[in-house]
Amino acid sequence: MKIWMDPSGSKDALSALLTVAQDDDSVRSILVIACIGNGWDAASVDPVLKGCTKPVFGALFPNIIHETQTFEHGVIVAGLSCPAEVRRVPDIGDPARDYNQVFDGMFDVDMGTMFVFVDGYAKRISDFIGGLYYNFGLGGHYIGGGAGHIDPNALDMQVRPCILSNGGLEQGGAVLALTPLQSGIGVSHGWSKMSGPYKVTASEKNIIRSLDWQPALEVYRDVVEKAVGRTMTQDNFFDLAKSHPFGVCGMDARIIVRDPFAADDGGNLVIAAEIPQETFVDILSGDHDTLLAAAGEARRKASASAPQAADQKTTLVIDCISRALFLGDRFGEELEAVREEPHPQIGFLSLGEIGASGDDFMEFLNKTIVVASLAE
Amino acid sequence: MEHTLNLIQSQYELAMAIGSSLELEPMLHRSLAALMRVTNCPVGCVLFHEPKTGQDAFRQVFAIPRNVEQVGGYQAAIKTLEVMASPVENTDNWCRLSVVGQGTDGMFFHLIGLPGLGAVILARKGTALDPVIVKSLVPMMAKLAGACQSCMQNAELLRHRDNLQQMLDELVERRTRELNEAKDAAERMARTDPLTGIANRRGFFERSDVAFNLSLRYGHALAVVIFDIDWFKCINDKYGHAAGDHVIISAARTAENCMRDSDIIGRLGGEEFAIVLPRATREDALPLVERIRKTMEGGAVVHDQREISYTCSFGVSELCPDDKSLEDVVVRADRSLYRAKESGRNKVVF
Repeated sequence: MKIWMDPSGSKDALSALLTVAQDDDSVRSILVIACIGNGWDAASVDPVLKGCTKPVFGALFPNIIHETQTFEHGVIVAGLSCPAEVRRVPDIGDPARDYNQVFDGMFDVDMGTMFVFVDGYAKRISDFIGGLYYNFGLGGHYIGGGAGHIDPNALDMQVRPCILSNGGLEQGGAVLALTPLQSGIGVSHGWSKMSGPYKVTASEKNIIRSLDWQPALEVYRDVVEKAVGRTMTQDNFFDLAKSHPFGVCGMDARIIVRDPFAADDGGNLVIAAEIPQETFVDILSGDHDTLLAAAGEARRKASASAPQAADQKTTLVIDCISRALFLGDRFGEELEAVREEPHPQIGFLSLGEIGASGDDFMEFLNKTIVVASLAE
Repeated sequence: MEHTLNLIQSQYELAMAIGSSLELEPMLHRSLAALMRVTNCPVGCVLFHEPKTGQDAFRQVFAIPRNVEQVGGYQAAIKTLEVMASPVENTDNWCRLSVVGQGTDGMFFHLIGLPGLGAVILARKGTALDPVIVKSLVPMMAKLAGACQSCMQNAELLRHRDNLQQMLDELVERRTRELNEAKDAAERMARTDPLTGIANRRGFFERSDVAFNLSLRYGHALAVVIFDIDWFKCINDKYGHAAGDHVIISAARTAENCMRDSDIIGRLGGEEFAIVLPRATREDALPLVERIRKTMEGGAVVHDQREISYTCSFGVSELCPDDKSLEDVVVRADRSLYRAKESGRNKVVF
């Protein structure tokens, strides 16, 4: 994989890097990961993307990762030496869509690794992921995440176009890129149970209304305030909540993390993924060390499961934005922990993570780090 | 303690997810996905036992992912299931089974009996499920089997309801058609003379009124002929009423055969008939009526091997500018008929 990076994030830089990638005969398809802070809009970027003669896929994220640095502006163009079958799925939140049917016949080639980028603010991401797995199953590996914008200070929820392909820059949808790449995938989070369980007694999609028949925010606030010794207000909600996500635990003690990123005026908790009613959740805690240890574990899993005989490897890091916010100044250590020298490392901070290699039941993840070792 | 709590929580979540729909496929999709999530198994499949002649067989009803057959070791797992289920008569042998087997690619297959129906397969890589977990799923299988039965019964009831609805629709459609046909027949009969098959007085005047009004509106000519059978009482007296009926039929047929398709004929009563000739003047009508008269005069009715000759007298009138109704034209034709009778019968009088 050939990697070009420009920290300015201008559309001219995108155009220039795409031209270089297109002119390189060894590049057969192009992955673009860029910062939403670049301020790109469809009108200015579409001509560049639509004019690209090679398959292009990617998305815009709050931050991108190049080696062990994160950027709020910039673009990474990665030229793959293999072809990619790119498919756009517009408006994945459409309530009428049957995701068991949408993917039927979408690809007619064997899977290696599928890149999956979804608009992180779209509805029905869980249904989308479920339909994807139902149709393509264990034929290959899945990596990707939720794209879009998040402002750590203002929690700006403004939706912006963030999914890109040869069709241009779009919002509300998803792009899938099926490649013959072999990959090793490691998934880990480092959070553990602190309090619970609590029964989700009322919820709707990604909004929890009540826990144990009490207003969800009250229950959550009581626990978190005792844990951190501070009063939780509307203003500091995310600041405290980022260190205490929810966890959904299965029979084998695997914990799926669910990230409460906002509380609404009605005393409900807004989660970064759907939580069905009648689910039991725990409130989790973690510290910098457990998260950093988890990052190292993800790297080891990815490295161990990647094809050892590959000529060239690239590490793709998909890390939750709220992990970065939680780790703060130590986030650089997380990027050091996942780095596999001497291979190049790229990645992004996401609004939900996707990483599946057939070892676990595939779900849209929160507050988790996914490390993919891509082999060419 | 924590492990037990996890099991109980997961059992509760499964119990809530199972049977949440009365449609089999959505219900299985949700239930199986919940089962796979709480056990962290990326492969799940529901199979129904359908014994075939000479072999045991399991039919895949629902699977996640749907291409589960491509998972290494899946077919071997099915074979294991078939062995465990044999003999099929002893359903207890396989309804309670809870087996762990290892397939290729490090995939562990867990077969859990679905009481009375078949089995569920859960598979995952790396490590097998703890036997305590598998055992904790057994009661959930009873609930899942019950939910499947409910879905199938519901489907059967819906099929039965649809069949009944279809039968009812067909019955209603057939009865509606029959009623419409009966109504049409009754309406036809109300306007038709049963002896001759031509219009009766009511039918004749309904159709003729339309022709009269059209003639008035567009200024077209119209002629009316009234005729009756001469000496009809004598025919009845001499040959009987059955013979008289034959003569009436003959008169109607003879007149019909000489008319144009657009002309209207009716039996006004007894031996009296009327014909309306739209767009016909007196000059147009007279040759036609004369042809009818001559045909009747030259023919005979055969009844009981006896030939019965008969003649008719005809009164003809035509539409005048002052006529307000068809009745006015008919009255004039009736007067002409009277004159024909008075002047010796077997005549056409205008």
